[in-house]
Amino acid sequence: MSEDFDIDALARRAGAELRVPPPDAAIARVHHGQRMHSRQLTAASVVAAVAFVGVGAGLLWPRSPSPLITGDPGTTIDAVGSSTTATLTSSTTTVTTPFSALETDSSDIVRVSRVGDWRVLNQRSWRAKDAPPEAVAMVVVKQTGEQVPVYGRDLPVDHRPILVNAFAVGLSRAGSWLVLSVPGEKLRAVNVDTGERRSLDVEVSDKSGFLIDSAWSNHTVVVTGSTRIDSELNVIVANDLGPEISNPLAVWTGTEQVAFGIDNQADAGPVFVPNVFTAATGLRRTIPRPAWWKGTWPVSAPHQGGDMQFATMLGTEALLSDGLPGGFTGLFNPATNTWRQVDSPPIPTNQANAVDLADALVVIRSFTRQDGPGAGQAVQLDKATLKWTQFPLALSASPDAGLLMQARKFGGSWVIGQSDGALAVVDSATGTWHAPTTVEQSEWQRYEGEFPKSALGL
Amino acid sequence: MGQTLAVWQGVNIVYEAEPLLTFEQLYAQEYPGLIAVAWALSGGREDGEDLVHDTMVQALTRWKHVGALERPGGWCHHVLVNRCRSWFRRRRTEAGFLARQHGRVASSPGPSEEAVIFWTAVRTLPIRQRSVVALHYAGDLTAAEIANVLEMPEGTVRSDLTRSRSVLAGLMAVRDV
Repeated sequence: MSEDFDIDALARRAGAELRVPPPDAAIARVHHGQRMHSRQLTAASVVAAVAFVGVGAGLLWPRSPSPLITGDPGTTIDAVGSSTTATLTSSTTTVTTPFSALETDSSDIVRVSRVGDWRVLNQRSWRAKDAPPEAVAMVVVKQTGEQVPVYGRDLPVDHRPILVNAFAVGLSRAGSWLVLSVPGEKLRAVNVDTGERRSLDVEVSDKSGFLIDSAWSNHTVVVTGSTRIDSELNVIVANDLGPEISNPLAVWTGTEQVAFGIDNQADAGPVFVPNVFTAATGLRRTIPRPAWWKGTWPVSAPHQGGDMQFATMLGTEALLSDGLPGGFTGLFNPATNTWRQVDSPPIPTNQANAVDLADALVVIRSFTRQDGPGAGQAVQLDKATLKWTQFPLALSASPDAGLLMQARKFGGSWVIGQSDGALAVVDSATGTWHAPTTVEQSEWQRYEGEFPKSALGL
Repeated sequence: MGQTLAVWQGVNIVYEAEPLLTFEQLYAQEYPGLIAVAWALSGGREDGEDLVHDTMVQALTRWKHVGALERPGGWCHHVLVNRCRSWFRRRRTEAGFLARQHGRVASSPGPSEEAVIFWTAVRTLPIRQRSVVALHYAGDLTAAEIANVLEMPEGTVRSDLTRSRSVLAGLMAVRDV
């Protein structure tokens, strides 16, 4: 078929263009990474990543400097960033914080998150592998405006390769202690009140450093699946470390962490390994796989693997879905250890971002501007009826639309923020889209905590 | 030749006194295919390099095991494709930042516009077909090799390729209009 022949030839040309030789020193970098990894393995406990507080928890080191403030959903904080200062404004106070203490060049704030009463600013410079180690830094700003550097300045030079892999840094609060994890390093704890620092006897592997969805409760940090840290910084390791899982999703019930993932190292091939970790006992139990479980990967063992797209708590149950029509979607009740089946989304929602609103769960299929206009779609799950509804229109016709990261309900509308700063607004009752009103834009700005781009030099 | 003593995820494990090739040889041999697959699936060369780097660190860490495999390159592709799939999830969190840096990305030689459009279209395919197309056209793997890497029947690989070509031809035609 001529069409096939043409596309085949084009595909071969396109593929050949991507096959490039390794860059200089690339293999040396691999050897260095392997030495760092070997060093980690000498420790007795290589466990999963630590908890992270804040919605959309992953802290991913970006590729080049640019101010980005991610406000803390659910609060009224307005965060403002520039290359050298940050201003945190609440309804009653405004704190402007210069970052001279960090002594970094080209530093930018890449994320603001809220941990208790603190604002935790993550700052970095150029790409980690090209940057001096102190260019990756984290500082806590207290409500008083006091800054407490908690990470970055004291890194020895030979930690630089580890930082190459420091895509995820998790942190959580246990009492006055801020607990941080960097893949490839031991957990660190910093007492934000006294400045005391401790190294905890828990190492985080490179792989599990990507597990960003651990959970925390009161004064206990649950490190995925196997370890917990209490408010006195006691490390309690469960006997059953279990397998390291990939593609993890986890939700926190209030007392337990429900984790879903795939054990790729099982002898029989990828195995879906749902489990529940109970913080009070430090023990984990395996969840029974429902009879109607349907995996999607690999196809040779459809009963085993599965590429889950989103998980969230709906009341007392954990919703887990692969996002595929006719695929697997279910609710797990940790109290009864039982599943019940839920309809699948009516359209594929791979690479979806699930946003839990008051009365519905909105699942937005993320898209990039490279995907072309109209690629993003959304569905909503009515929490009461557990029925899905598809929005009739694509989210944006803008060729410059970016990934959809967050949403919030204002009155009868859902305002959905795109990563390029544009807003998409849908009437939640009719599913029709309209341009954001002035009020919606204003409300969103308060919610998102974004400062006008002009002030950031964008 | 060593004796095949076990099968791990469809890849024969051959125990040898010495690996069949050095890690450096494997790296040089497999890098172009691995970076092409990672680049195709992630959409970015830098992301692709990181994914390949992590894959090769894992290979080196387990070199005693990986080096003894009959097809260590297949193992690397298997691990890489899994890493690419995890990467999509992490990318969601990162995307907010990435979108802001467009127009600020350092310029470097890249693929042609035709190739960029093609691989962009590929990334709209479902994950399995996307992986099959990337492994075939970017990784230059045969249908049999892809079947081994992705642990699926060779016939399914072929039908995925046929279907994907048809979809991609349609997408490319639309873009040409």
